[in-house]
Order: sequence, then structure tokens, then C-alpha cells
Amino acid sequence: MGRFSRPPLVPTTFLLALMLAAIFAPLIAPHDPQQQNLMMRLTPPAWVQGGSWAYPFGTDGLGRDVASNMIYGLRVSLLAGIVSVAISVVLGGVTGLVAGAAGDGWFDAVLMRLVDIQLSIPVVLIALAVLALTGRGLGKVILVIGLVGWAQYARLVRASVLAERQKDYVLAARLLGASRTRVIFRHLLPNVLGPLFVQVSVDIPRAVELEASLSFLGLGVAVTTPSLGLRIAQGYQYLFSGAWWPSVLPGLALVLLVLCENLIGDWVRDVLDPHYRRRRKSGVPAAPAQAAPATVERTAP
Amino acid sequence: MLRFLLTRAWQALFTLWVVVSLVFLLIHATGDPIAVLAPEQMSAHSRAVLRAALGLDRPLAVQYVRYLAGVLHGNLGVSYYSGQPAMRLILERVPVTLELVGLSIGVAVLLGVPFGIWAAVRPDGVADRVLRSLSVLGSSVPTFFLGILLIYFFSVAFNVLPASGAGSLRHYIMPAFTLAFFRIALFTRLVRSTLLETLNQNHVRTARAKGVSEPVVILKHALRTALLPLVTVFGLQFGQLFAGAVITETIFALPGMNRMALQALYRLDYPVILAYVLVVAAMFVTINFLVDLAYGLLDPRVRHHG
Repeated sequence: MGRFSRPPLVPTTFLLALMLAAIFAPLIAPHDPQQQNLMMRLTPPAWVQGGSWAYPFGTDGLGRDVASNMIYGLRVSLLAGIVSVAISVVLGGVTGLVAGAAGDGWFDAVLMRLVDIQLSIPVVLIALAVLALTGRGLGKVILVIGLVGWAQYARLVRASVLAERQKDYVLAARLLGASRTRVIFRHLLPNVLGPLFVQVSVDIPRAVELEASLSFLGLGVAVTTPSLGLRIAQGYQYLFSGAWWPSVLPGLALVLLVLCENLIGDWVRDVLDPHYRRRRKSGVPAAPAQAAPATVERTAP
Repeated sequence: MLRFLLTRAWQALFTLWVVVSLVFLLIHATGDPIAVLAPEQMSAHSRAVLRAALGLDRPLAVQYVRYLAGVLHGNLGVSYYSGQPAMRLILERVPVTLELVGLSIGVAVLLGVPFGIWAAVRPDGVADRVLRSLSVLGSSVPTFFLGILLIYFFSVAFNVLPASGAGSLRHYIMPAFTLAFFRIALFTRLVRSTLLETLNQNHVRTARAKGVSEPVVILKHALRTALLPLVTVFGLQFGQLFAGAVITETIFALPGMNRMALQALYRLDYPVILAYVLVVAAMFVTINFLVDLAYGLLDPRVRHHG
């Protein structure tokens, strides 16, 4: 383990700072993110000629403060990332647990077929289609991202349960007269949590990115919600006249957030994935997490 | 092998049927196209006429059967907007998308594989560290933002590449790179890790013991084994590529089928959406099928199990 068990200091600090900024957005933001000041529209950032410290990161095409929109945008991004993944975990985790504990049967077969189909359609396309048909809104975006993410967790939890079920401690618990529910929740669940956390740490940045992409395409949050993706889309049209800040600065905030989450995710995987840790230890680096299950699946048709 | 093929073909058809039916359900569960299509002041009578003309007045079961029959004949009706056959509208745009997707796969493989080999030759060397940092960055920059950055630098600030349209190969440089960026990082990581693993295996050690030169060991003996996971990820990435192409085509105003479908989504132009879903699903299923076949060809063990 050695140096791999230390949490990455810089990304953690940055992420905490971003989270604090998001939580205390009303206290930190210099302006109301919605407030328009058309006299001051497209003011450049303070460090560029013509900028002013009243608007540290400049203003957008409607004269809204870019910095305030970024701070409130982080709020939307973090909320979307965390809540939607929580929905996926609960939904997929429960179905996976039940399927794994029930073992071979029609329920398991149907469920896994559904998982295959769900995983074979790109998430963005499903989300786009649903949002186009139901209309936009932050709650809907979060719900859709959460709903389409269930399959990964169902597969993961089911596989872990199937592997754990064989082990002696489960047999021992059964022999002691533990009920099925008790075996699932008291004995199997804690041992499935490791891989689950790894997947969660991979999925949160992905969900953040997905919300931003959907909002960028105009099918995410409502136009009044200060989402980073939406602000980037709105700032994009001024790019060609040289005003880069309304789109580039929110974009950088998004990249910073996702980058920190990814780096922390790598660390979580190092610590929690025994497979990965073992291979690291022996000097042989492991394949990326997403490739591993796929290989297993393909070689055993 | 034949049984393997038949099973796969049957599964592919089943998947297509589920996708097609889901789309039908989704459309009819979520809204009334007439409400979107018809102008506010349109009379109830005209609405009814429009509804009948589009076949939307029939019972759902009838619409479903007609829809399935249409799908089988490749006839999905006409676009509510332009009045042209929906399937043709999408198929016309397929070449642009295929060019984009093909080019970006090419870029990703041509850069990712050599980068991966380079990193694996000297693990923890300078090249390895630089490439690893870049690949973390590569997976953290959203496609649409990368596109915007490229446009700002190459079209606005330095004005060397066109920001939109699809006239010449020059128009494809930025979109293809934008779409490929994440995959370069992915392929680099993948080739690096699998190559490092195979370099420890017996057949590689045997080749080295025979006195085979190091480049030959890596390129001929180790790389072939290392390419297997790449093929798998390639198949999985295909769907992601299409999803990424929606964003790329939008940013760079490439007239591909994904942009067409997005516009159809905005206006609830159902026949066009259906045609798009069908084309994507068919491509998807075909690619997965081909990947399975390639896998069998590359790895004899899979073939015997099949």
C-alpha cells in the first residue's frame, strides 16, 4: 500500500473549497446571478483591460456577473452529481442485491437482459429523448441521470453478491439460523460496499459532466437555473466577437470540479479495490476499472 | 461457431425490438405531438384533420402494429416539418457522421496505441508520467468545452481553421480531434496497462530468451495479446462516440444525423426521431456483433467456447 493509501491532498483541498463555495453561495457571490445590468454587458474580467473589480470575472451578454453564476453553477453541478448517483445506487443496488441473493431464476435472467439492453444504449441519447419529451428542469435532469444509471450498479452488486454468497461466512450465518433478509443486509451488503464506492467515485464526475452536457444542449435545466453547462452555451455565442470569459471561465470551473473528483476517484479505487491494489503492489499496473468487467463479460459468452 | 452466430443474431434482433418498442411507448406516454405542432389559433376541426392525416387518431395498438410494419419496411412516415420521408432525411446525413466518427476513431487509435506503447516501454519514466497526467486531464474535460476552447484558439484567436460547416477535410480537423480527445487518453491507458501485463507473460519471456530483438518482442509478441481489450473497449466506445457526436456536431455545426436528430427532438418531429433511433440501434447492434466476431478471430479461446 504505502504511498497509495494517502489521500490526494491538493484535489481534496480544492474540492472542499468548491463545495464550501457552493454551499455558502449566497454569502460569497458578489451579485445575484440572475441580476442583469445591460449597461455593463460583456465587461471583461478584472485583470483584463477595461475590466473592473465590481465584476471580478466579467459579465455575460446580458450583463450578469460571471463569477456569481459560476458559484451558483457549482451548486447545481454538485447537487446533480450527488443526488443522481444516489438514485442510481439505491435503485440498482436493491435490484442487484435481490437478483444476486435469489440466484439463478427467471427474475435474475430478465433483469440481466434488461441491464444488457440499458448498457447498450448511450446514456446521453436516452436522457436527451426523455428530456425532449418531458420538458426541462433541474429535478427532471437529476431524476433522468439517476434512472439511466441503475444498470451499472445492478450488475456490480449482483456480481459481488454471487461471489460473496459462496463464502464460508455466509454458510456459517445460515447454519446459525439467520433469515434470508438478515443474510442479505447484515452479511452480504457490508462486503459489497467496497466495489460500490469505487463505482460511485467514478460516476459522480460523470453525472456532473452529463448534467452540464444536457444543459449545454438546451435540454437540461430551465433557462433561469444557473447551471455551468447552460451558462457555457449562452456565453458561446459571444466567443466569435472575442468575449471568451462568459463561456471559458464557467468551463474551467467545471473542468476543475470534474478533475478533482476524478483524482479522488482514482485514490478511492486504489484503496478499496483489492484486485487493483494487489496488482499495484506486485508492480504490475491494473487495467482501467471500466475495462475489467467488460473483458470478463466478453470472454465468457 | 454457427450456433454462436445464431445466438448473437437472435439477441441483436431482440435488442432492436425492445429499443423500437420503448421509443414508441416513450413517445405516446409523454405528450401529444399535435399540441406541439399546431399553432395556438388552429381550430379544433383543423386539429382533428391533422391528427387523422398523421394517423394519430387510431387506437394505440393499431398505431403500434402499423409502426412495427413500417419499421420492417424501413418506412417510418414523413417528417412533420419538411414532409420528406423521415428515413431518407436521416440516411442522407449518415455519411457526415460516419466521416466524423471514423476520423476520430482513426485519430484515437493512431495516437493512443503508440502513446500506450511508449509509456509501457519505460514504466514510470518521463513519457509515462506526462502521458498519465494528460490522460487524467483528458477524461476531465467535457467534450463540448474542449470544442469551445479549440474554436476560440484556432478560429477566433488565430483564425487558422473553420469553426463550422462540412465543406472540406479542414472542417473535420477540430471536430474529429474534439471527439477523439477522451479516447486518446483511454486507449493510451489501456494499451499501457495491458502491454505491461503481457510483457510479464511466459510467451514474451520465451521470445526474449530466444534472442528476439526488443522492438519485435513488443510489436509482434506482446502487442497482439494486448490488443484484445482494445477491441472490446472499441465496441463499447462506439455508442459513446455517437453520443459525443451529438455534442460535437452541434458545436461545429456539422450537418450530421445527430444534429438532425437533436433538431427533431426540439420540435418533437417523431418520425425523424424514430428513424434516427432505428439507424443508431442498427449500427450499434452491428458493431457489437462485429466486435464479437473479431474477438473470436483474435482469441482462439473464445471461439472454442462459442
